[in-house]
Amino acid sequence: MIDRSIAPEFKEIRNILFPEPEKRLAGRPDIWYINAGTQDVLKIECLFFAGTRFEHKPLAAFATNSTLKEGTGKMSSGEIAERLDFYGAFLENEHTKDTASITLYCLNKHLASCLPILIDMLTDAAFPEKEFDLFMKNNLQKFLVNRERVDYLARVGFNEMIFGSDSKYGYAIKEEDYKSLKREDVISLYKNRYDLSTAVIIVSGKIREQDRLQLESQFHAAAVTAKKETHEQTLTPFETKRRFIHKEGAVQSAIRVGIPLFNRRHPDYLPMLVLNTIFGGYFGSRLMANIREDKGYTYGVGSGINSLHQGGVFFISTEVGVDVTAAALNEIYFEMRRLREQHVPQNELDLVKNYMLGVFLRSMDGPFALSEKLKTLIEYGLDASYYQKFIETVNTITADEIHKLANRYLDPAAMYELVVGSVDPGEVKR
Amino acid sequence: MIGFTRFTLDNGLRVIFHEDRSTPLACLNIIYDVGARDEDSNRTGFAHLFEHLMFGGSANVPVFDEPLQRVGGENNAFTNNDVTNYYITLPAENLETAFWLESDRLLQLAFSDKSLEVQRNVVIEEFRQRYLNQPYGDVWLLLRPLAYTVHPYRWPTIGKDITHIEKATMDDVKEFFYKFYAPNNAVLVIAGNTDLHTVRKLAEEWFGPIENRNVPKRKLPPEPEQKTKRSLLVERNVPVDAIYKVWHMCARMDPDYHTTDLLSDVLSNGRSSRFYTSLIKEKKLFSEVHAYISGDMDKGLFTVSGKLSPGVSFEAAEAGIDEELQKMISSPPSESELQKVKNKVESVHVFGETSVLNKAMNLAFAELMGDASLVNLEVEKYNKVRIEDLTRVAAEIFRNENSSVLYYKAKTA
Repeated sequence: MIDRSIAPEFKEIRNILFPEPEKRLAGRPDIWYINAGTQDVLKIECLFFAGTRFEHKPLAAFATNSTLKEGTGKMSSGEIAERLDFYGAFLENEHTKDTASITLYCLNKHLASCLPILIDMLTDAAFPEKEFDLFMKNNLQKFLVNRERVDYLARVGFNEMIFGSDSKYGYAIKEEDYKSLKREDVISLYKNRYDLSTAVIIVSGKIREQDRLQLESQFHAAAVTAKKETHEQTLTPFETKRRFIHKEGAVQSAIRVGIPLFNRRHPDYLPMLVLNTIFGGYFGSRLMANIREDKGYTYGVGSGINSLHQGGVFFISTEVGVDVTAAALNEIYFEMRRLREQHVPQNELDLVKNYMLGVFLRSMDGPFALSEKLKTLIEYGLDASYYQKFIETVNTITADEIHKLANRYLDPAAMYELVVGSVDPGEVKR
Repeated sequence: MIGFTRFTLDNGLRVIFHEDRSTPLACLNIIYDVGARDEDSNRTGFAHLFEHLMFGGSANVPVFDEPLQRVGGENNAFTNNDVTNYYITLPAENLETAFWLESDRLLQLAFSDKSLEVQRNVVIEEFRQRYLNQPYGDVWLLLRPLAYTVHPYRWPTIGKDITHIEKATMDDVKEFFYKFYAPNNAVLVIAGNTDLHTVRKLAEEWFGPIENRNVPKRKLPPEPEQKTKRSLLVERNVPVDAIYKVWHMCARMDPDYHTTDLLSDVLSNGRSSRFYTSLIKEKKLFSEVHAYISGDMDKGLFTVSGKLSPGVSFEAAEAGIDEELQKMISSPPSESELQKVKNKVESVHVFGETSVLNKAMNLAFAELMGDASLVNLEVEKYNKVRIEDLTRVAAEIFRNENSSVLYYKAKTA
């Protein structure tokens, strides 16, 4: 009979190897391969430095990235959709503050049919007036719906505080922006930033030699160099640290607390990931244990770090009952002070270390997950030793170092604080 | 093709093992044959509240998540109207920890008063966050009781009334546990980088000693055939009018299930679908419109939902939808239109098998429906659907007297 009162033995994860990706340099653009997995599928991600930061008019990056698929010189929007749907292929478009990408998912057997469509969209998108207008009209509706959500208002409002309303990172989209963006703005961004010669192509899945040959010949033939422009922005956070946005009728308040931070190239970034996990980065975190599991104020609370090409942000986010908004804020600051005043118990630190390495192991499971990991390296000009460094940091960081970090970065007095809700909770003691 | 081995413990627990050597991970998925449909109509939301309590510690494990996080694992769970499913993924070599934790809470939950009190509050906040504080968040609170009159699908998983959760007592909770949480009412699936011998040994050791329990046989009142169309108009603080129209459809195990699913695909899967090209691009009636099926174990719902373009009336929007549905009969899909949606099904299936957790969940769900090997027959069943099946099922489902419609009107300031 087993003894249930004793935890089974377990092995600690001490090392995880990031498989060295293969890069083909035979021409432009760079094509990276991650050959892994068991299924006959391919993911082809084409990454451009064409995120919000590079737009001249609000919404241009989003609209360009989304309407690339709405027609080319050769094919109408309907034809593109029909052909990709027929081969069971999926197109994913995504834009961030820094980058924009178009990703094709298809079965290996349909690559020859799908790849020319992808290349056509990247080199000869037509942005037909009719499709562009419809896209803007329908997305205005989505925007109007989003504006009714406290979590959306909080995310946008907090970005303004951290990066400044005038910066590309912090600008909050207005209703008028949907009317003022013109098709020409989109075409201009497409011409300047969707430059295949400087794009990054990441191919993952079960890659056969014939797949490589097709990909290289077609991508390299299509790449034409575009002219370069510089894009500067000044990031100026709000002067005031507290902000309340009124949302009539809200039964919960959305809370954001945080500070501007550096990105993943900074020496404190990796240690900060450990501190963040302890504070609010997993289910057993200080914030969850206190605000959800002890007080029951919320369905979920957490903290995170967003790394951007220019800077970053550390933030706490939650939605809580209107009547406990001030109480929840108090607990957030209480947990910050606790980390600044007392060392993390070794037991808790060990748990967090193992947990983080487990998450890391899972985040590298399968070809598509590996391709995400590789993308991060390429975007920030890092190499595979970065992940080795991550593992080392997690393995070796001490409670003393965590304590110092908390005192450097988790200062309640320095925090920007935003509440979106129906009742202003007033200023809480920090 | 997902290969697996199946065995049953003496206490009735069905165990399925799928080996996958391409991953360093393993997952343990346990599905219980209990969902919101098994609740008393005066105590709704219990299956879901209970899922929360399952993380509140057990006889030998004070805090469920802690030992799991310590070995690099992660877990979660979900409840729907039919089932409650718990899953853990962790490094394969630490699989035993998952067995320890999962078996201990099935053996005996801690039933702490503190956990009940806190989780009641957490669920109430979840109710507010997901159903009350979101635009259109209360749609299913309104639609379910419109579409169902007697079947327990008439309330959502969160419960029909939050006071049911507020009033939950420890006795209610205990009764629910011993009634439904039993080895003979569950399917355990292990998938990942381990071997059958290990799985068999761990299953026998950790789950074997748990005694089977007396699980009541499910007797749910079938929903009577709907004879007249029902409708409801509500006004809310939302910026855009929306319409939700539902029709009764077959159950998950019905031979027509796959045909019904393909019907929804022809209508709205992808940007070349009928809804997208006709209702959004051509007629511009909607800014978005979707068709989807519920996939419930008992007879479910075929749903069409859409947000109306500015200036479009509910009458025009509904007429537009109805016209497309009638066209499924009057101008049936061509061979290539049908082939297109079948190709998509195949593709989704192949991509779905890239995730070990996904495979484990599918096996568990299939076994609960009757046979784990159903997972490997799905694509073939879709491939067998013919054009005449689509038109026949469309004619059966898309009758106005079989429908309920919710007009969700934007309150004008």
